[in-house]
Amino acid sequence: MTLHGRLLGFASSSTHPRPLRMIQGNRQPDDRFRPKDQLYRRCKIEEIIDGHLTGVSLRLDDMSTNWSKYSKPWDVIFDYPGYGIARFRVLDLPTDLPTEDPPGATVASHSFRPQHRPCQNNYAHTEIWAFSEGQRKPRVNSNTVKKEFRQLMSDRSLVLYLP
Amino acid sequence: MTASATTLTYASLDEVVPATSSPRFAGLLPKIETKSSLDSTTNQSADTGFDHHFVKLRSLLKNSSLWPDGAEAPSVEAQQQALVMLGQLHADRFLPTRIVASAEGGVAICFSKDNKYADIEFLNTGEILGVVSNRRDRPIAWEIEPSARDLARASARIRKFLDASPSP
Repeated sequence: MTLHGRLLGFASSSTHPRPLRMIQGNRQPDDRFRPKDQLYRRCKIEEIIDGHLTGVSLRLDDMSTNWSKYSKPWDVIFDYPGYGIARFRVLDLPTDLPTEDPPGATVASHSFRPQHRPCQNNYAHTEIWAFSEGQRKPRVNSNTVKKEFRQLMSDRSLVLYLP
Repeated sequence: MTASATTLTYASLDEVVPATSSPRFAGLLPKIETKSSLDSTTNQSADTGFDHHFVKLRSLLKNSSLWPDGAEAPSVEAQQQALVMLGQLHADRFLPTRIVASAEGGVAICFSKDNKYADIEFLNTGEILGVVSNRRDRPIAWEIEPSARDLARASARIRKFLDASPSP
């Protein structure tokens, strides 16, 4: 209920000023993530089944979230009235995908890590980056890795606030 | 005639599949009776639960409010593939939970039962991906060929997964 009340209070820049914590100002990126840190993401009702975000509502490449260290959950719906809020934990990000090679192919192991990518009006903005063989992979080519990642994140997601 | 359990009341297939349909799917499109074949005297319909899925599939191409933020519009080809799959599911009397647009661009058919989940995703790239998950163990993902046989296999695989007793 407290969350609900706060959500109603921070619905839009037309009625409320953007919270100062969201403004980057002179602050630099910070990559000291802790496993229990949370990553928030806004969602539509269409994207929720059985209390989880669906994997098909998630896009792997540079998936966008807000880091709990510098934000409140409801910051992700500032200026997005009608949206809900879901969260992941940093410790939920997989480190060894795919689970098995697809038939007839060998796929290098992929891991996923958060990367703080502040925006001027959203300092907490954080992307989830893919890595393989020590290199960042802006594009993951393996369909198996992409599909497994999206479903794992779905399974580990929690909807905090329904749209 | 009286409406049978396999008769649908959704709008004509011509409305779902544009006249420009790729011949690639001509042999795969489901043979489903349309509204005109229903009993006009009783106006009896036989909604087997699929009607709104066909309507939703049709609306996904144009209604951007149904797309995840930043997603590209589902392509006609992805929609056609999903339509073929929906026809297969209808033939199998296997009702999906929801049809949605994919964040990766395309259409997905989702299933859930007893905290188990599965989907089949028809991407704009032409690729078809399946996944099943019990929400506890690692999900299992696989690629599906755009053939009637592989789509039927995917339907059977997902049904078997969802109907299986939960593991202790």
